[in-house]
Amino acid sequence: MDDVNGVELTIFIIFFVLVTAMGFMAARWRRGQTLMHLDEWGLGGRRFGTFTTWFLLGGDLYTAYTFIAVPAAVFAGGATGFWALPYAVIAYPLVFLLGPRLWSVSHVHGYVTTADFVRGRFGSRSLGLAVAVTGILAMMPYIALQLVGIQAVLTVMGVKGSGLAKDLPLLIAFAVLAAYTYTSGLRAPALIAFVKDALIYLVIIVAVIYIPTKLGGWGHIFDSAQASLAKPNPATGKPSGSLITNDMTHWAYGTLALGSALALFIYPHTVTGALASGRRDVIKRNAALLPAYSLLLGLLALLGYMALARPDVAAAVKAAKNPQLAVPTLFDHMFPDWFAGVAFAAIGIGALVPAAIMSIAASNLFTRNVYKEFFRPSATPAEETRVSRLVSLLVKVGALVFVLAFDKTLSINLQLLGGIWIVQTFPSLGLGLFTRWFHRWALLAGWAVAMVYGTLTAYNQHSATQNHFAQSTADVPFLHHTGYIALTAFVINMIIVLVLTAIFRAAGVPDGTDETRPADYTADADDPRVKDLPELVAD
Amino acid sequence: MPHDAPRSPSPVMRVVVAILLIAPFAVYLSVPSYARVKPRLAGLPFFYWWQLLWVIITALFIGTAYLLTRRTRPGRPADREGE
Repeated sequence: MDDVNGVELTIFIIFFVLVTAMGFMAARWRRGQTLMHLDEWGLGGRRFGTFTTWFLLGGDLYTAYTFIAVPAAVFAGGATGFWALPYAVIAYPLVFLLGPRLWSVSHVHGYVTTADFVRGRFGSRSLGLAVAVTGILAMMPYIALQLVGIQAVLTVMGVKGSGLAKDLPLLIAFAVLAAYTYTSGLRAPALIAFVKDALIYLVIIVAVIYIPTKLGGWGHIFDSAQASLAKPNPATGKPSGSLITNDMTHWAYGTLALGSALALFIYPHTVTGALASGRRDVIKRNAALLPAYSLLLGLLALLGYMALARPDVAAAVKAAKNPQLAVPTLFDHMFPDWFAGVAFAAIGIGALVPAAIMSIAASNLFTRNVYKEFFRPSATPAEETRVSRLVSLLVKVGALVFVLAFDKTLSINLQLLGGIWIVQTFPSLGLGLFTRWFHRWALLAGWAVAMVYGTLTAYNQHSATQNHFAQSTADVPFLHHTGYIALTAFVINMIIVLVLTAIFRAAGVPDGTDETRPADYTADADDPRVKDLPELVAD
Repeated sequence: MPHDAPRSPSPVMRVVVAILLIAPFAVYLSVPSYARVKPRLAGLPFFYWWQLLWVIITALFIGTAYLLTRRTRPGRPADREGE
């Protein structure tokens, strides 16, 4: 470890210690009567306003995916990697439509998780279980992506080695994350999100103003990037990408954007962040305010081109055979050491915040919809919280398995794999907010078939360097275009749901009881039916 | 019910809100329509500045949809506005 950059690492560690202290102190922030209730530990007391929610959801949705994986995809493939921008924009009309309804119905009925809602709406424990299991499963590769992001930053700072020494810093970072998530619950990431977002905004604004002036302007960056992308890739003999999409990639671009957009608001961690807001309107306002982050995402993606345009950066990243290093290496070469340290701290914290929220969301799902539902119906709120805390640790171990077992050539595939799974809950969760027509068993059958199809198709994708899970796009049956597997599976899912619902309804197969009423979906905080925390504790 | 009688949004309003929310999908999903290099803006190919521009437009559209629906959402008295 002789090539460690001392200045960068020192600044990184200072920020990390600061944030850790905040994480532990967060337990006392806007404290309720007890932290041993899932509403407190898992939803921060459900009192966050527009401002906190904006930071929390921003910290939640814009992750190592944004800072590391998307620029890496642009660095490696050009325009095809830019689909994350349309995704991060068209997701918000969906948030605007789904979010307030989910908030209202959850607050009227005391739902903490997505699976709580599906179970209550369709009167089916097995459908609730399916949604819970899918959510927990999809969170793991997404958390793994955060680890890959931290790893990339550590590598560029020179913290590398072999065997245990290689993974030790990552394990330390994760143990710290696990510890303050355990003690403070959702308050920790909510408080840290302020620091994280302030740092990220600072770094990005500096990067997109300062770096282009050093590289001879945007025009020059795009021209050099194009020249670099046009060179044949030694592995395939074909150009690695282009500046704009072509006939081969239009479909992949659009389907990746749409499929990911469907996934965004039904991810357990997004819902956790949204349900923690104190009023229905907070979510609507945030649907209009959060695209500010998407603008950042777009500019960050362009950092991939800046890395290509700077020959020494591009050569270093290609020599390491790890496109995830594109942004950290660019910062390392372009910024003075102290500012590179700040930038790396921003990326590292930016990965820890969502990882904390994701593990909380996954453990809430397990506790409410698996443990309590099937094993301990009489569990007290304190027992629920204890189990959630423990599971939040287990989920992180699951994520480590993804990190170690998966090829990280393009880490964006980890997130896309999670998307393939989570989109299959859209019919019961997303559409279920608007209609009760679907039959519970039809939803379960559509989900099961689509999960199997999606997983198998993803498993069978291979490339020159990988035998399985090489990409998340595949040939769409009957269309002869390459598209995102999640969307193809979703279409299969919907066809099964529609056909079977029609059959089950005609045959009079018994339906579950819906415990919600239409008015529940529009209730706001001033509505007497919306329960506050003390009433929920008394339940 | 302690609330005023719910007031449904007018049909015209519903159409306007629907257009505001659907437009971003139409723009972004018609990929070939913006897969062009020219005209460039400040060095950015059309493909990029067009998509970045629509981030801002989408935010304005959703904001407008919020203002339009806020006044007519059923179940919430209009005089509680701005509290």
